[in-house]
Amino acid sequence: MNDVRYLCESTLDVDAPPLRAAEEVLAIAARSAARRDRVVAASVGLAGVTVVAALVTPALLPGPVTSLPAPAAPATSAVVSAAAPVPSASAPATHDRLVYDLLVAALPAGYTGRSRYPFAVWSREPIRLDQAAPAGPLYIQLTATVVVSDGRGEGQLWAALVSDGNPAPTGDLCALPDVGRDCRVVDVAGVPVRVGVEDDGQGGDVLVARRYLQGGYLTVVAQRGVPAYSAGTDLPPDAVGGRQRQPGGKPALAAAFLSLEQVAALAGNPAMLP
Amino acid sequence: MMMRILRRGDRRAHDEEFVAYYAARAGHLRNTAFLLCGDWHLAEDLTQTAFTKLYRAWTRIDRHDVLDQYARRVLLRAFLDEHRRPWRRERAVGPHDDVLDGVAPEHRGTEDRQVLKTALLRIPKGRRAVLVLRFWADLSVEQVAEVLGCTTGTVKSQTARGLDNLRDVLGDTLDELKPTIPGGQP
Repeated sequence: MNDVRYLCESTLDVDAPPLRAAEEVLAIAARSAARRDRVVAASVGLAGVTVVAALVTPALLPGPVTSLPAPAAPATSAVVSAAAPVPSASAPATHDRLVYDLLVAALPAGYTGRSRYPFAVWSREPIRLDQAAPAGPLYIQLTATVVVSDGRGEGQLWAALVSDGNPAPTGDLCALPDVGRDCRVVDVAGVPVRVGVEDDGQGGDVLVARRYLQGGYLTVVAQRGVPAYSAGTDLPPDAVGGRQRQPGGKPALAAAFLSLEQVAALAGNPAMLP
Repeated sequence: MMMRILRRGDRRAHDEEFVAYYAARAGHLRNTAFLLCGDWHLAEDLTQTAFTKLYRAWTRIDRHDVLDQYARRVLLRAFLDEHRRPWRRERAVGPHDDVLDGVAPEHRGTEDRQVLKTALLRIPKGRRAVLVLRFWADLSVEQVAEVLGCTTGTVKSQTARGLDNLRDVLGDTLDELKPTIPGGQP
């Protein structure tokens, strides 16, 4: 037994690299907790409504379809064909760097972006979110969050890849839950992307695009402000001094920095998937 | 959900307690991770994983005297889960593999340490975890069983087999190496 201890102590008798700073560890942990809250707020949506129930809901009112000018194939219908090949909702967490780059590249001139949180370490596991029964858990495969600035105010653009184990839905995507208002389906080069608008609670709009995948979905969200994490009414990890604030203390952007079609184009961009 | 039950004063206290706990225990936890995986970078990641999960559960842990045990459990499970991933599977080392052979005389201490570390890594990971927790972290059989989520009988049998493995790997090497390592107690 003492030999084992000796072996261990000898193994450790080296110059170890410096320990990660406590602030960095706290930031990563807070980011992880915040992601969990954010996706619950933005993706789970209505309590008690299950994804399984949604998938079997018959289409009632097919939404209008908008085609993107340049790359989009002709839009034919809001109803998604069951025969269309759909990628799976799976990605390593470290794909967040590429997604982040794509989000930043999509910003119009005059806007700059920076990552709100540290990027994922390669060993990060998907974050599990439990839903109300009988729906199964959701797993956040990756997220990337860009704080968007025009020099005066700050908004946010973020993307998340969520897996729920459900097959890609067919039929009218606007008949599914969590559609927000003004739901419609945008055809992005043959990829149907559902878009809608939600309220940010402060008089602004949140533009939400969702691309359904096999076993989950990719969602891209643009908003004029930087949200504090308030799935309930509590302060986020970013709250300092006991009050909510925007990172940097700047006000929200004066106007939307992307259109719904541009947000949809991001969600439908095949490069967003690994 | 954790965020919903926190109040604004709790958040600050929560983070301060978390940072203080990290400052006090992260080094030990990372050492445990290093003994398990043999790689400082992976040990750092495993430690981060453990503290991330600890942060999420912080408000649900009523008795902070069990934090160490909780953190060890998270770390161990992260380690075992990590090695279930196909791309992380450990490579079998043959009896004449260079990993174990070729000790350079001019760097005897360093190389000897490498031999010891490699010997530990050649033990199956479950048994390695039992040995590290029992004999380095000084946990009881019951505590190890709780951390690993198994029975005390399993811990005892894994301990015996792990020690057998270690003897098979090292033979008399450990006794021969003890005096050559600076600071080593023969």
